[in-house]
Amino acid sequence: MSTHEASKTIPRLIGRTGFARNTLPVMGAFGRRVWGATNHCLLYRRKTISTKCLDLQNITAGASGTNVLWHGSYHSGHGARLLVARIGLAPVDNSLATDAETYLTVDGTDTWKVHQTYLGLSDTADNFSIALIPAAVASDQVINWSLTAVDYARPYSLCLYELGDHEADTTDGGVNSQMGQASPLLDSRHKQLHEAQTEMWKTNAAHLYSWSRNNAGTAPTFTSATYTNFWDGTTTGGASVTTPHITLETTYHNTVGSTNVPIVMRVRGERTAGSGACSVQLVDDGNNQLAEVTGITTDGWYQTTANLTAGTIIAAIEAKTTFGSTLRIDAISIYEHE
Amino acid sequence: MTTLAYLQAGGSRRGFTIAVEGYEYILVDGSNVANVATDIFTAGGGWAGTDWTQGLAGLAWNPTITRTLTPWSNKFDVPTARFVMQGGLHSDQFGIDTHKRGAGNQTELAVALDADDTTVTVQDTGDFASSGYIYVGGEKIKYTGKTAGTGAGDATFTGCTRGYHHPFATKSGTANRFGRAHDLPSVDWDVAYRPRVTDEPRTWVGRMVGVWCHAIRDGVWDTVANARLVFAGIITGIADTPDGNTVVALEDIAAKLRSTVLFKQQFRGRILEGLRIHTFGVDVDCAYAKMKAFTSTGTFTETETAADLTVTTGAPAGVTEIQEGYYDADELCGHITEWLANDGSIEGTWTLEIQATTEGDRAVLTCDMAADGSASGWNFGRLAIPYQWADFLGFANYDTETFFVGYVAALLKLPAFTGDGTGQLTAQNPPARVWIDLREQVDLDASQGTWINEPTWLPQTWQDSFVGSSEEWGVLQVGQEVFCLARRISDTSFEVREAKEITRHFGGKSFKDVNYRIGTAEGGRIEVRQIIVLQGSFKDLIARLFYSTGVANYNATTYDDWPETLGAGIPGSLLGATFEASLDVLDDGSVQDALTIVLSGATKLEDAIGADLMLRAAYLTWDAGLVWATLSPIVSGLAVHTFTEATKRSADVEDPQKVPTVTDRAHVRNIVNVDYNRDLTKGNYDSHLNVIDVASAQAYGERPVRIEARNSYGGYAGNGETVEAVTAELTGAVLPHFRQPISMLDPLTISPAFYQGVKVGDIASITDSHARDPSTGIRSISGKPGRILQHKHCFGGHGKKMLGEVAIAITAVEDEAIYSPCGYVASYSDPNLTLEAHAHTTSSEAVDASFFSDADEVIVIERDPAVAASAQSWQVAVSGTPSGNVVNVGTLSGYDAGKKYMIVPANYTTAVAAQRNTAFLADDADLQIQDSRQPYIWGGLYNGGAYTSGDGTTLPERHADEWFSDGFPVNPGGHAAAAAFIDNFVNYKGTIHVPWMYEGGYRLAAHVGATAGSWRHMETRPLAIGVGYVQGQGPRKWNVAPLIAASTANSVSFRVTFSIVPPIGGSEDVTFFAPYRQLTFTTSSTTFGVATTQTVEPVVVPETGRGWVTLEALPNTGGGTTADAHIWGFSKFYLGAFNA
Repeated sequence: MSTHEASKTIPRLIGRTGFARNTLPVMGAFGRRVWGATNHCLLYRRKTISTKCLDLQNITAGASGTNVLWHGSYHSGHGARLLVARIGLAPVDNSLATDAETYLTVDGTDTWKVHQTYLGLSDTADNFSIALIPAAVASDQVINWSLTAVDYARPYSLCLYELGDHEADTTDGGVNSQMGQASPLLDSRHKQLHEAQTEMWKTNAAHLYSWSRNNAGTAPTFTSATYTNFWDGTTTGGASVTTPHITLETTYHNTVGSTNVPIVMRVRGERTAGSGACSVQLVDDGNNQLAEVTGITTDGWYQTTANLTAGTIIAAIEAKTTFGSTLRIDAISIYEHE
Repeated sequence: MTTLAYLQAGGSRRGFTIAVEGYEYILVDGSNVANVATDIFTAGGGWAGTDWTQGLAGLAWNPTITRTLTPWSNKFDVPTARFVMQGGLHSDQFGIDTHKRGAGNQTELAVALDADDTTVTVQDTGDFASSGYIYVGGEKIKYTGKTAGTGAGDATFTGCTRGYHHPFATKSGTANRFGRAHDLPSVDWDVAYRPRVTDEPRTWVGRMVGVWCHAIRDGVWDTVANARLVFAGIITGIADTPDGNTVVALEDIAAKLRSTVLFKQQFRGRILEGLRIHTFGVDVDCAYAKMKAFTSTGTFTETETAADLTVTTGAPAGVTEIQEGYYDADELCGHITEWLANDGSIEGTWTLEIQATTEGDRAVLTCDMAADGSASGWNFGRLAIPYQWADFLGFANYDTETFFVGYVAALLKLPAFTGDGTGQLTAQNPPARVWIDLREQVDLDASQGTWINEPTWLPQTWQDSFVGSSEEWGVLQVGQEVFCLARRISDTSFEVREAKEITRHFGGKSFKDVNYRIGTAEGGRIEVRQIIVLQGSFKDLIARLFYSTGVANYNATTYDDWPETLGAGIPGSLLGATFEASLDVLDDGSVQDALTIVLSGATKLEDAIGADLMLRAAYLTWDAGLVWATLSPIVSGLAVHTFTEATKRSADVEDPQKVPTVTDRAHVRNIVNVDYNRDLTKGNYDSHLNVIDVASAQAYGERPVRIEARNSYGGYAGNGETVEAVTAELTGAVLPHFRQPISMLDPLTISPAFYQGVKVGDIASITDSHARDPSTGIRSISGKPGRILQHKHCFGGHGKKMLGEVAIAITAVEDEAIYSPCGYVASYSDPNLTLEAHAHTTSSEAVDASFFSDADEVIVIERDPAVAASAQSWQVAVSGTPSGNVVNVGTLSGYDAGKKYMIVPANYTTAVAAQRNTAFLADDADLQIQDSRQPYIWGGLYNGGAYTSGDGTTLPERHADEWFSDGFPVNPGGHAAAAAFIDNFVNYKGTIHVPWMYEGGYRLAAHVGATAGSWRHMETRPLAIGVGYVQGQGPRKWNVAPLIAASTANSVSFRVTFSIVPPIGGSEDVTFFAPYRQLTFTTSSTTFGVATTQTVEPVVVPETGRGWVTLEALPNTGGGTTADAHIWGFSKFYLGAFNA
């Protein structure tokens, strides 16, 4: 094992044609740039998984007891070490609160908790506060998380992002970037580099979309057997720029040998009434189905994999039920992953 | 055929010409040719068609010119030369012209001249012809008219052609025209000598000179465009000799770089001392005195209050007013004392004054109750004044009291005293001479020098934080310790901003560090000085230092856009594309080569960048123009010259021309000390890197080299890492070459064919029967690669013999190598692979297929395989010599046209012998290539030319496991793919992508209840874009497009604000703290639609990558045009590529 510090300066574009070309010498300078930049990406160019903010003109009132508010899911990247939640906290709004606390739960393990007290403050920018909660995560695996508020705690915003290690560790995906003119051209260092990069392409790409309910009482429900726009609950027939949608920007996210951008779509939901499986689909503005999560019945996460064609995609998420059932959706996550 | 090609082909009929800046004659050396002075103007040859029409024969050009690459030197190599005009044998015209240094009419320049000004304003033009030529310094200016003016320095020469009869030109401008800037004294203590303007040339020393070698074929001299520029220099001296000749001493043009002083007219001024009191802004507009109390319990009770002391813009109406302006400590204390003394509502005699104490001068607040006589019991006195005043006066650790929002007062509490006693409070610190508040103004009582506006060259994070469009920004050093960003309002007034990186950068302090108090420990005047901070890519900065003339795009497009005081103004025709391309090896676009040049005062250009050049092993040399050389790998494949017994040519016919091999430790270095983090306040360096090659030091003795990296600052993380990275490069790529004694072939004589077109740093292939082979010790080497460290030549003539020699360093073991070749398959039709022509070469180089030969063993392997361990591949032999892009590899069973493939040599032991001198991977377990050869190593620096920056849009590819097997060829395919991955990942694949929509209904900002014109605070959410400093690359931006509508067909807006900290305030018009950036989207459509995408640079803390984004809405509250603002969310919200 060896560890290597990585520059915190974002790598500039590498002039590969000036370095790696037939008839040119194999230059240590080039090696150090590529290997070093790989470590930088591994440590510092990590994914942001979710951002969220309640309507500040109308923040939901706090509630007694323990309340799981927000859910999410993602795939931790190659070399991931921490999941960090940066949380905006609104004032505790009930004098009955004795120990208001907010915490993250990552794959069933609670993080440390942020405590607040009742101060009788109003919901204005002056009175909001910030908390930072880290949670250790293992790399390259599906991570489910939730945010819980206890005893009138009132988180109002969130940014969830990933951190890599403090230094690149060759046992954990890092690459040995110590090479110079006198260093031999070794198989092992090329193995580290190429394997790390391929893994990063597969698992460290941008997280494309996250959505979570505000709280258990406000999760949207669907009863139509026709695919219906997830956000407005009424539109059918695919995405449109005049109805709620998202733009998935995946241009240049494919590899040289394929136009596909492999994705995973995960939905946390429950069929709360009726029978039959419920479904959620990702659909474009030509009403072409891009991905479909099917078989949603009991409370939990469901997923599908799909390939997007690299490009700019106007996409809508639509939900449907069968046999007059009711589908509640708590969270949706779409991310690139092979 | 150019003259160079003619010489290289062995041609010997040649002549030399010299053009001297501003001189109407071409000097001609063609003693073996009749009528040379007129021959050079023969139509279609020589100097015909140029501004010159006359020649002077009698030139003797026979200097020995020696160019040297000194590995550990940070000084420019400046060869010298001289020429002789033989006035004794030919015309004495040159001797006459160069010695009439007091001839002609003269006047003085009245207005400074830029290099391209076409009107020259002088004191008087009366004695001058109505048209003709004038001379300013060494520059000759042609003019077509003149005006007399009024006698007040407004006479002019008009229709001027600048830089007439110049040997050189701008990069792409008219030939033989190159103007100079001519400044006037601008600083009080400058010598008040204005440039003389004359109608006869008086100045010769300092003029530029060009020397050309012309092939003479059939009596026709090669055109000057086709001739070889063998020397460009500057006249350093002129001598008349006893034999009637004129001898002119020259220094190479690099001497101009050596003598160039940057930042000659540093902007500086004396700060206006005192505390600036004014009626608005963060300084508040009033002060209060509150006192006193009588109580037996020892607690303070406010019983009397003085009338407010109020700041006014006009003259004070009485003692309760103080006029805005600057006040020193005595003046301020005086006003307060006067105010308190005359206020009848408080008891006692109050004074606030500066007193001499044992600790030095201190502000002392005193209340004397004795004079009053009515007091009894306990007295508690308090004076409340704005905290800025208290800080300025030296009070510290005081309590504060907020009298109303925005006004925080310092409470100066007197110790309790009794009865008719006296209470006194002494300030802990001396009064300041200057007090500066954040966001405040620094005023000067006078300034000198020239302010340089440099917002686009400040570090990107500083630009992002502060710089607005069309604003003039720079960096100021205030007093000895404080550094800040400053926006120029006028030459005596600046708005200042702090950035913690700035103070970290320079080892100084922030305003906060000094509690905004300046000058308490400084005697004399407190100066404000501009500090130049230029950050960019190495190429961008160095090229500008060389080109810039002060006239944008005059000397070259792109690279001539700095003030004259920041450039050497080397004529662009001596730089050009070759020079720029040679910079590429020093700046490949990666972070390590980003450079920050810091000038804290007038600095020689050579000193400003010398260390950075050494850190990058960059050496300025000559190849018919200035060009950079570096320490290329000593590899046969890079040889551009071939020296053999047949190419030798000694000046001495008796010379056996046996090449001595000299091995010594002259260039050995085994300890590299790099000092960096220059502390501008002290001038020393705070950080040091030491790299020691222990084995070398023990074997050859300690041979240290010290580099003072004056432009590198570890406090600013990006730069600290840069110097460390560059040092790693230096020690990795350069030090190994010099860790042991170098074997030099010195001298190796060369024929005249190699007098030109050979430069130091070039790699040559040497075959010699006398030189010893390092691998055997036996004489005779064949095809041995070596690096030219010195080149010396003299064309002879005029009694001097011809001479040509090189000194060449050779390596003991050849373990550097070029890439094994690679080609990308475009198509396959059994048995032929058709390769992409230039996947791994430039369009001007041989096609990729040409690097494969008949009988080569090769592997055709799948690119971007879905499973790394299962990449499809074939090991085959090439049949026949490839034709064009076609390589015959036989049958590839199972070839899939839907996949992509590449072709590379087979593994080392399978490859044929001819393929094995390229690079292959070694097994790290035994450091052997398939147990057959010691490993190849990473090579040193090399100018690969054809540098193009990556683009991020080249798609990455997944690897095949074969890429890292023992013996696999190290090929440009795998390495280019690895680089493409980084470019792509940073700019596209790994960027942040966080669109959002609201579920269950759009959010709205209703007009009902909204305050007209007020932004409703809708959300503030944290963002994270990853840790990272942006350095040397262009900005990247958020791409934002909301889905919005208005409830009626009236305009509503949404504002998106990116900030480092969340805003404060209420539910409307929250307050943002700088730095922040905003986007505004407006619609009056009642149908939801995606607003046009807008972009904005991120505002985050680089160390954490964190920031905030706030959404506000502006419903329409107009009388008949009300509308609610509706938003579904953000269709687009992602971080784009750099420079997208």
